Amino acid sequence: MNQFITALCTIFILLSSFGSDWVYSSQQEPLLPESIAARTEMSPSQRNYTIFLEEDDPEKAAQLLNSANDQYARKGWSVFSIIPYIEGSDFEGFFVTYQKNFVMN
Amino acid sequence: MPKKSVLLFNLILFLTLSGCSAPKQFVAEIATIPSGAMVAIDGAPVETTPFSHSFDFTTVEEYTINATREGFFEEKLTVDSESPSLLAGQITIKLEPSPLWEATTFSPTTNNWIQVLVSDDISPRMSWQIMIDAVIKRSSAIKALNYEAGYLETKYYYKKFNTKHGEFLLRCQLVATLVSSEPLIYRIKNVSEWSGNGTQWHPYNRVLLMNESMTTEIQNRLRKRY
Repeated sequence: MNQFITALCTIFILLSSFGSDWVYSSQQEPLLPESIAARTEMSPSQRNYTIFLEEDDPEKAAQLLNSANDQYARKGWSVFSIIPYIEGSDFEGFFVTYQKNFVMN
Repeated sequence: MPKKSVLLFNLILFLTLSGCSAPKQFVAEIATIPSGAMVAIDGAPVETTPFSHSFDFTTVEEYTINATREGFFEEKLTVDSESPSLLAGQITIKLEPSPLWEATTFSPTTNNWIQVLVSDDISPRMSWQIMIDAVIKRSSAIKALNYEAGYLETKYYYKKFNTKHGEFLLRCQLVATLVSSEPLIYRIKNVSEWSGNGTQWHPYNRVLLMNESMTTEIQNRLRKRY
């Protein structure tokens, strides 16, 4: 008799797990990081900061860029993009965009 | 003579105008790198790449092409009647592999409880030890452990991914609870979540390889007959 009750309990518990699976599968599709919808949601929360480094001598501009990158990296910012600014045919400097890194505890 | 001139003028006008008017229909082959991506045009699923598709610009100014393939970032492309790729008859979309997908695997325990019926010849104490062994072998980060309550919870294991679409965080945590002591049944779940900003978390549909191997070992050893 005891064995019968134990078997019944086992069947009931196992069947209840199928129930929870059904509830889970009937829920809405999760937002995945690979989707465009996720990127759209993320974009406003990305913390970006753009600076202009004015220097017409390319060699000095490179030094200035390295120094700015070091300075921002110490504050937890990483380089997102570097765009040279050319007026007419003259190099005038760089637009540098930094992005705030995650802080993981 | 004037009649001939009019006819000639009309002929030139017709040829000029017919030459100037842009074609309204294009057939292009849509391909992705790698192939096998599901393509939706203006939100409606069409086919798996590669395939040929006819674009009609009689009433529509532009089309939005979305390409999705498991393990890759979804890409979107908008084409109009002047798009060079469309004029060349070949639209190729390069898909970027997802490092999150590569670092994870499918598991039925992903954000879902599964029940493990412990073999009759394994004592409750032994089954508990098996679970702890499987966990601490891979990670010593246990958050909660209570034999009396039959509750085991690991700390979240975090992994960071830098992609061209930004930084992503993935975190996984294993939770095991006692369901019944007679018969001895445990239930196990791997909580798997991702975030794009470190504050808002969304469920992810795969788990880290470490969590999956942990779960598989627990299931195999608890079900095994000695």
